[in-house]
Parts: sequence; C-alpha cells; structure tokens
Amino acid sequence: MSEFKNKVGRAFQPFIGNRAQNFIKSDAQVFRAHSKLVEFSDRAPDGNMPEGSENYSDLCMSAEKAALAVLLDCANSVAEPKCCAKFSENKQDVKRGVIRLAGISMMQCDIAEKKPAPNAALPFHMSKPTENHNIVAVTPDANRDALYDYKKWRDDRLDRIKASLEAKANIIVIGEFDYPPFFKTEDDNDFNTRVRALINDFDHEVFLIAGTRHERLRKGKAQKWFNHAKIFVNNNLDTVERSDDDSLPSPMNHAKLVPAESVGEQIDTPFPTAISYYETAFGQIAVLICKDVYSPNVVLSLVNRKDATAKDRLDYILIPSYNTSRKFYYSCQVLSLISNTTVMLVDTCYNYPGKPARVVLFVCGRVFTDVMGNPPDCQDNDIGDIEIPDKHPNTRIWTLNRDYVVQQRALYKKRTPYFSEVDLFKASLTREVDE
Amino acid sequence: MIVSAKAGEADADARRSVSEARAIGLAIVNHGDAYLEAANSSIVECLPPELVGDVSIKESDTVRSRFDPGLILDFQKLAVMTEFGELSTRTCLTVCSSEMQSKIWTRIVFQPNNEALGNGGLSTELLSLLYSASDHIAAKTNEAIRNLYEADFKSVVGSNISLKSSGILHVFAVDCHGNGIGASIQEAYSELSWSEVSIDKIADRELADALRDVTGVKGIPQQAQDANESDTRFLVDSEAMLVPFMSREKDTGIFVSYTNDDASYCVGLVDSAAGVLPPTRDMIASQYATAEIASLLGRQF
Repeated sequence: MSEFKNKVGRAFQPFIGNRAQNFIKSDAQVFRAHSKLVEFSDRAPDGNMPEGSENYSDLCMSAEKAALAVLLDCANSVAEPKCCAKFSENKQDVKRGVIRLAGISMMQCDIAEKKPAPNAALPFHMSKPTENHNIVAVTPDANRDALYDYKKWRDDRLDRIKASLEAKANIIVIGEFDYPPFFKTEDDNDFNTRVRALINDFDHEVFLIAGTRHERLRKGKAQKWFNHAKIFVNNNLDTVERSDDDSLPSPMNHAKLVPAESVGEQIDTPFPTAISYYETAFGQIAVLICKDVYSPNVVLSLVNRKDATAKDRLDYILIPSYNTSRKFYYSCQVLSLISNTTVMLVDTCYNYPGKPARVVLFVCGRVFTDVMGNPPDCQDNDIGDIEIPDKHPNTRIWTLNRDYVVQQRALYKKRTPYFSEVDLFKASLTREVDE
Repeated sequence: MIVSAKAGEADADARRSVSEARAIGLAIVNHGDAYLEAANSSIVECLPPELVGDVSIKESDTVRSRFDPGLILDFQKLAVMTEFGELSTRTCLTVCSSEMQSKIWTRIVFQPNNEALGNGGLSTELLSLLYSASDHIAAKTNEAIRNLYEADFKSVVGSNISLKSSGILHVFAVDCHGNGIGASIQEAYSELSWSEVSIDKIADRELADALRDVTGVKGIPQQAQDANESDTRFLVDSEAMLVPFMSREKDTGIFVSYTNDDASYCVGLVDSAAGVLPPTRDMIASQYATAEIASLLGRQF
C-alpha cells in the first residue's frame, strides 16, 4: 500500500470502522468508540485473553480512551464555548509576530488598613446585603467608609495600567475583586471614563480586564448578584462596525460561572455555564474567574478544543483570581496543557507558603519563564521576554513570540499522546445529532 | 495540490520553521495582486462557452492569514455570473512548517439560479459540465499559484529547491433537496456510521441513482463504481470506500472515496434539508462538508 493511500485511509478511518483496515497499514488500530466499547463488553477475560495479559490491558486501555471520548463528546453537546463579542472581522496572523501580555496583581489587603484577619489564609470577610446572597468584601473588620479611599484605589490601578500600556501590552489583566468595590455611581463613572481615555490614548490594540467585583443587577422587582469581570477594549482593537442597537457597553460584564462556596460566596451564574470568549485580532480570548477553572464544563470544553482549528480554538485564557491554594495554580497549568493554549493567571491573594507565583503565564502547559532559556522542541529559539517594572514588583509584562506558540501547538500529539488517541475515538462520535 | 520539494532530481525538505513560513507568507501577501491575477486568468481561460461571464472580485478584502497550525493564506473570492447561476472560486495556500507539506486548494462553488434550471434541478449534463469546468479551473489555478509560490519561496529561503506537485486531492459534493433523498441520505449515514459489519453498497434506489450520477462525472474512476448496470444498487469495489460524513453544521452526506498512488477522489451527496440558506449560515451545506473533508485530508499530508 502506498503512503498516499495510507494517509487518505487514516483521514477517513473514524468514519468507516473495520473497513478502514483495507485502506490503512495493517498494524493500525481502529479508533471507533462504540466498536471498542462493544469489544470490551464482549471479550471478558478468558483463556485467550486472560485478565492481566498484555492484550487484556491494551483492550482496557482502549476502552478507557473510548469512554473518555464519549464523555468529551457529551460535554461538547451541552457546554460549547460561546462567543459573546466580536471585535475584529479579520485576523491577520502573518503580520503579527509578537504579542505583549501584562498581569497585575494588586493584593487588596495592601490598600485598606492592615488589621489581623480572622482567618489568615482568607483575609476578607463576608457581608450579607440580602437574604439570598453573600458577597466577598476585602479587608476584614474594617470600617469601609473610613478606610476605603476610592481615589487611592483608582490611582494605584490606573498607574499600573498606564505602565503596562507604555510597555505596549496588548492584553492586560488585573485580579479578582480589584475593580472599585463599592456602588457609588459617580465613582464608577469616573473610573470607567478614565480607563477608557487611558487605553484610547495609545495607538496599539488593547484588551483589558480591570478586575472583578460583586454587584447587583435589578430587573423590575427581581435582583441578581454576580461576580463580574470588567472588560474594556480600545478603539484600535474594536474595529467592527455596529448599529446603535448592537453597540457594546464599556465596560462589558463577564460573569463568574462557579461560586466559591467553600468561602461562602453565593452568587447567581449565567446559564448555560459554558465558557464565553471574545473574538479579537489577536485570536479568541476566554475569561475564567477563579474557581471557574474547576468547572467540569470548562475542563471538558477545553480538552475538546486542544486540536481545534483557528475558528474554534481558544488562543488565550485569562484567569483573574483570589485564591490561596497551590492546587489552583497547578490547575491553571493543567488547563494550559490540556487545551494546548496560552493561559495567564493573575492572583491577588497574598503569597501563601508554597504557592509558586501570583502572576504567571503558561504556554501549552509550560511556565513561560522556565522555557525562556531552554526552549523544548523549538526551531525558532526566540521565545520572548519578560519585564518586571521596578515600581511594581507584582506586575509581569511578557513579550510572547507567536511563532513559538504555533510550533508548540503543532506538537500536541507528542506532548499529550493519551488525549490524542482519545481525540481519534471522539472523531467517530462528534458528528452524531442528539435529538 | 500537495506540494513537495526537489533539489534537482532528488527529493528535498521544503518544510520550514514557523518564522520562515511567516516570512514566506509576508512575501506572498505583498504580491497578493499577482496571485489574484493568476487565479482570475485561470478562470477566464478555462470557462467553457456555456458558462462564460464577467469575472468579478467578490470581496474587496486583502489576502487573509491564519496559523492552523501551518500558515494558511486565503486569497480573495472571484465570481462569474452565468446563465445557470453563480460560479465562484477561492484559492488558499498552506505554507506548511514542521512536519507538514504545503498545499494549494482551489474551492469552486456553483450556486444555481433555480428559475433558469426549472423544476428538474441540475441535469446530468450540466453537472458533468460543472465538474469538468471545476477540474480545469482548479488544475490551472493551482499550477499558476504553485509557480508564484515557488518564486516567493526561493526569494525568502534563497535555495535551489523547486516545488512540484506530488499528489492531488479532489473533493466534490452536490446538495440534494427533497424529503425522499434527504431521508435516504440520513438512513444510509446512520447505517454506515454505526454498523459493526463492513458495508459496500447502497440499496436505496434513488440514492443509488444519485450516487451513480455524481460519481459518473469522472470523480471516481470507473473501476471503483458499480460494475453491473442492471443492478439497481450502488456498489463500491474493494478499492473504494463509502464514507458517511456529517459537518459541524450537522449537514449529513454520503461520500465515495477512491485513491490511487497520487490522486484521491472523494465525491458525494449532502442533504440540504432546508433547501434554502438559513440566515445564520453563510455557505451552502456541501461547502461546509467539502471544506471539512478537505481539512481532514490536508492534515494527513
């Protein structure tokens, strides 16, 4: 059989079942999920395939991959990522060799008066503005009116955003609960106006998450509480023409999907609880807020997209958070690995012992700074650069060589061989219609 | 067209690093007009008298680019309004890096003017004419683009490598309207997708006839088709396969695939259930299916 025929056979292999053996080299496995499950059910250990034998282990391993493929496909049909705003009609990848990203960790406990917290690991307290919802507020047992200084809060953040913009950052993220936390309309208007003016003062494209906050939305007598990330884009990035009816708010609200129930956060969540992303000239940008990272919908959706084409691929996942856990840090790394993409974590919680970093960039599962001096599997040795402004030690500005990312993405089969075989099984299922 | 590299008579490695692919891509984008002109001339030269019309640039945007993961350059769409409907073409070039080869694709879409066609729909003669025209236009365009690509490749890489065609992938599909044929396609799709036994025939008469029509336009060589004309079933021989395919847009199709040592043919029918373009879609059903099949095949080379 010629190599040409073999390759065509492989392309169609998930769709034609056992007949594929006529068109591909004989040692190739048939990746058809339901066939593998039938075989697993049918071939209980016996004399020909005793339990513990190599053949039986292979069958069990294949059935396990087929089972995961079914789970992933099911997740795909109920929780597909959805685009919530489009800022560009046309990506011109060829002209964009680098992108700059900035992560700004403010640590709110530095802002208000420092007093001993009831729980040193969780230096925030809970308040109950309604019967049904708790919100998380920064700084324990503080007299908020006395201690919270809007102007100081505002100026600290604007100062850091400006420093990132001056370093030509295209994507800027501030952490969870770092948007001005109280509900004075004039403060909100002032802050939003200043942020918009600042980002539009620069002639490069900017996508900014200016922190998150809990806030109440009222509709008639009904009210709901959300944890909203506040998203701003400048005019250079938003090039889509819209009618007045289709105009987008600035900032846009991006709701948290999963409440942090273990610390008492009770919020409403959007439905369906699927990943939302933004289409930009840099690529598709997904935003997850803190514990969204633990959502099964999120995790399965991202595994489903590790080999996606440009149309479906999530190019950047931005994660503002307030989290003490080391596990959380590594969960973000896992998301980067299994989704084969770039993940930025910006944590505003203080340095818990053993937590590797508060601000970090993962590229296809690897920590950016780890590979800077030692690029794995990389033909183009220039990976990028990192800058830590003297004035702002918890700010990181990365210059990321997109060619490096493209190369790393292309190597996903080598990096995640188990999941890559699961993908082959999944191909036999993804085209089934559920009614 | 799958492109491979030669240094003199010997095989050479034309796979580039991503940054070299980007540099080649930028050179191509800078010469976008030449590529567009080559595509335009190929259409004018290859259109049969029955389909002659003025060629226009359908979209005024420039060459589009994306890494997917090789660098894919989409050239502008060109269109000809004929007596029977609109024939449009778009060419794209994959400047591949790492382990992949370069590819040149020309997609040709015919959207019939139903009034001109009448109640009978697309006749076998017109279908044959369209396939033949598509074949010529694609071959001519791909060859013209290959020449330009080779020049840009050499100008950036500075080597004596020449780029030659090493294989051709043909993907051809026809949209089917109507409850009867639609149900037959769905049923065959389901049977082929889930059966545990090998299936090499289609028993439904209408579907079998339709498959004979589309595979009879030179898409599938004769040896892979039903050899017995008195038999109402559609049979494939051991060299061909029946491929059930559903696009991400959930359009269902039945394809016949045949491959020899340097050419692959995948020809089929797609159920266009609504018969009209739903407002949320910007392509007809067969376009989604053929684009995805082309992508599936392309990823192997």
